[in-house]
Amino acid sequence: MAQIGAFLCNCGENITKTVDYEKLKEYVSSLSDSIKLIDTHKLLCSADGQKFLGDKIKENKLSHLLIVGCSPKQHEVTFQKVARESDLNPYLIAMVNIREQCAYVTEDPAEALEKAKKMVKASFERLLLQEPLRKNEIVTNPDAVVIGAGVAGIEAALLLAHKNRKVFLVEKNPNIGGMVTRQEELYPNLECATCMMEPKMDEIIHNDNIQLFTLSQVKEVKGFAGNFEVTIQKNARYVSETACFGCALCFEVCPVTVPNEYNENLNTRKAVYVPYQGALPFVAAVDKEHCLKLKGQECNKCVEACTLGAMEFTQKDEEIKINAGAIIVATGHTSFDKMKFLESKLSGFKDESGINERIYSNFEFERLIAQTGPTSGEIKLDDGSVPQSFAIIHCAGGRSSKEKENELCSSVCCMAAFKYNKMIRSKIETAKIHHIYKEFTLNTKYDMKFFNSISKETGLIRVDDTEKIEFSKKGKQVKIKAGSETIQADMVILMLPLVPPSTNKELAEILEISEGEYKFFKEEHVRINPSGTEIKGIYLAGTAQSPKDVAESTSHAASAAAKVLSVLQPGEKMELESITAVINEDLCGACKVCNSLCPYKAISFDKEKQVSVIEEVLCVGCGTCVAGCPSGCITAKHFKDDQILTEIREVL
Amino acid sequence: MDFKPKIVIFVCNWCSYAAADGAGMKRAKYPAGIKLIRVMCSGRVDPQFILQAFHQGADGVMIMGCHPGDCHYKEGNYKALRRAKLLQKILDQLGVEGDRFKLEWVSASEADRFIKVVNEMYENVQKLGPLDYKADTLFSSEVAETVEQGSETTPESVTETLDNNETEEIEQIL
Repeated sequence: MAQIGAFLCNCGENITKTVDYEKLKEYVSSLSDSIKLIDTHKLLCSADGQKFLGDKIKENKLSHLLIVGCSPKQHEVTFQKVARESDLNPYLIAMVNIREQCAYVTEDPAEALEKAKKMVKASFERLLLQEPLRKNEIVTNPDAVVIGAGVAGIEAALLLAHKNRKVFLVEKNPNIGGMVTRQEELYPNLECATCMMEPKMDEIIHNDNIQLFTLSQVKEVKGFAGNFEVTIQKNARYVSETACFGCALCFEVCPVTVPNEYNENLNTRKAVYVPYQGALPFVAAVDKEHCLKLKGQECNKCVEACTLGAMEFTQKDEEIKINAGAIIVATGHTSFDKMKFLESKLSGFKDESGINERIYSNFEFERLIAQTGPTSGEIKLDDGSVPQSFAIIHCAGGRSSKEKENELCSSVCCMAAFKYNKMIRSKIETAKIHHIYKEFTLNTKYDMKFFNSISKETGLIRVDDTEKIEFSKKGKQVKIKAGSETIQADMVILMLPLVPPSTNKELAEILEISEGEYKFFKEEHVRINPSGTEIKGIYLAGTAQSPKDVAESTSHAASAAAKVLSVLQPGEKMELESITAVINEDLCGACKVCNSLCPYKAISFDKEKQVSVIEEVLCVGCGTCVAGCPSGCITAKHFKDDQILTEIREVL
Repeated sequence: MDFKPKIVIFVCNWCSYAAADGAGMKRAKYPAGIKLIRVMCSGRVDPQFILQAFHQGADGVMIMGCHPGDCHYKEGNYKALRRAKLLQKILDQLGVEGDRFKLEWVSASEADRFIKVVNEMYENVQKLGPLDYKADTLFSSEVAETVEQGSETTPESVTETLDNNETEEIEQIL
C-alpha cells in the first residue's frame, strides 16, 4: 500500500497569506488513510527544506509525495532529485501548484481555499494512479555526418577530425572542393583559390578519421541528437577508387562527348571523366546517364584502354547505414540561370547568336579565367579574338525589383566584380571596363580599399533598376542601354546571385529542418545561433544558411564544428525521456494512424506482427499518437488516460 | 451575476502552463472556477477529455497550446487544431454551444494574453449560463435523424461539414 507523505510549503508566506493552511491541512488529513504524514515547511525548496524532505522520506519509508506549493516548472526537478537520493521514485510525486494557480490569482480567501482543496484532491487521486518510471540512459555517439564537401564542409570535417571524431563526409559530386575551387583567385588579396584549398582537400583524402562518400546523398535520417542513424545512398562510380589515378587513357578513347557542367558547359568532357586537372579525389567517374555501355550498347573502349583494370562496371549503387551523433549541413549554393535575368531584356537580339558568345555569367567567367578552365585562363571570345571592352552588370537577377524570391543581396558579388577588374587588367592591360550598378555592397574592412584601387580606372554607371537594362546586338558587340546611358562592349559579365540548390526542399524534409527565407536553410536563431537549426544535433555551415564569402563560410563552419565538439563528449551518456508512449500490441488495430502522426518518426509498422511499434529511444512523450489512436491502445506514461480523467473528475 | 461557471483548461507544459505561471507571478486575477490540467502537449488532448469534462459538470473547456510553428514537439498543436475543429462540430450536434469550447495559442511569455483569454472565456460562459448536460436533451433533431437513418459519421463526413472559412483557416496555418 502506498505510503504517502503530504508536504505543504508556506513559500515564505506567499501562499499562506491567501490560503488558510490550517484548514487545508485538516482537509488533507481527511483524504485517506494512505497519507502517513502531513507536514509543513516554510520553504521546502531551500537547502534546509530539501534536507527536511529527504529525512522525512527515509524516516517514514515514504513511497509517494504530495507536495503542495509552487509550480512544477520551478521545482519539480529539485524535488525529483531529493526523491531519487532518498530512494523514492521521482515519478511518484504530485506537485499541486497552488501558488501560481490559486494563491496568487484568487481574490477571495474562501474561494481560494475551496479551489486549493479541489486541486489537492485531484492531484492526490491522480498520484494514486501514477506509476514508477525508470531513468534510461544511452551512450551518445561523438561522430558526425557532414553533408557537402565545399569549403564549409571541409573546414568542419577537418576541425572535428583533428579532435579524433569520426567524420562521414557526404558529397554529391565525384570530387570535393565545391564552388570555391571553381574560382581562380579570391578577393581581397587575389590569392589562388585552388592553392588555398588544395592542402585542406588533400588532408580530407588522407585523414584516417574522415570517411569520404563521393557521388553520395543522404537518403534517410532517423533518431535524434547524439544518436542519428543516417542512410547514405552511394552511387556507383564504375571506377575503382583505389586503382585509378586519373591517367586519362580512358577519356581519350571514350566516344561520348557531353557538355562539362563543371566548366559551366563552356567546353565538353567525355562520359568517363575527371572534371578538371587536379580534382580530388583524382579518380575518374563514369557518367551513368551518357555512358553507352551502361545504356546497354556495345562499347568497351575504356575497359580496354585502362592499363590498371580500374574500370568496374560491376559496381552497384548501394545504401550505407551509419551512426553519428550530429549532422552538419554544408550543402552550399548553386548558380543562377542567366537566361532568367536576360529573357525580357534581349529584344535587340534577332536570334540567339551572340548571346552566349558575348554575355557571360559570373559563374561562367570564373571558369573562363581559370587555369583549369576551357581556355586555360585566356580571356577570349568564341572567334578567338581578345575582348577589349567589358561591361559588368551588378545585381543581375539578385536584388530583383521583379521577383520577391530574388530580392536578397548575395553580398559577395560586388567584390567579385571588382576582382574581375584586376584580373582582366592583368591579362589585357588596356581593357576598358564599365560597372553598371544600382548599389554597391562593401561590408568588410578590406572592401573599401579594394574598391578605391580600381574605381579610378573604371567607368561607373548608376541605374535605378537593373531589371530595366536592355541588351541589343551591334556588330559583334553588345549594346547596353542602362538608364540614360548607352555603351558598347565586347563582353558582358552578369553578376548573378548565389541561390539555394533545388534539392534543399527534399533535404529539409529528410532532416526535418526548415527551408527558411529565400529557401536557404533556417537557422535556430539569426543572431545568437546562426549555425544551429531547430532540430537538436543538426547544424548549418556556409552558404547553406545564407550567401557568404569564403571567410564567413569557414567561420560559420568552425562555429558548427565547435558546437558538435562541445555537446558530444566521447563516453558521455545522455538521459532519455522517461515519459514515453507504449503500444499495447494485443489491442492495436493495424490502422497505422499513429505512424503518420508522430513528428519524430518514432512509430513504424511491424509487417510481420501486423502492429505499430514505438522505438522508445526516439519517443519524446508528446502524446499526440495517444490522443489520435482510434482503438485506444497507446498509453502515455505519466499522462495516462485514467490519470487525466481522474484529474478532470476531481478538479470540477 | 450569481452564476459562477466551472471551466477546465488543458495547458501544454511548455507554453501555456508557463504563461499561467507568469500570470500568477504578476498577481493577475482570474476567477477561482477556472482550473488547469497540465499535459505535455496540446496534441495529447484526446477529444474524449473534453467530452468527459462537460460530462463531469464543466460549463466551459479550453485547450491552450504553443503558437503555430512554435510547438515544442514540432506539430502537436496542429493536431490539436484539427481535432478541435472536428470536435466543435460534434459539440454543436450535441447541443453544446460554440463558446463553451475554445482552442487558444498562448506562448510562455504571454501572461497578459493568458489572463485576457481566460477572463473572456469566463464571461462568455457566464452569459450562456450553466450547461444543461442531460443525455436525452443533448441530441439535436438533426443528429437523431442521422442516427435513425443509420448513416455513419466518419472523420471525412465531419470534415465535409466544415465551412470554407474553417477549411481555409486550417490550410493557412498548416
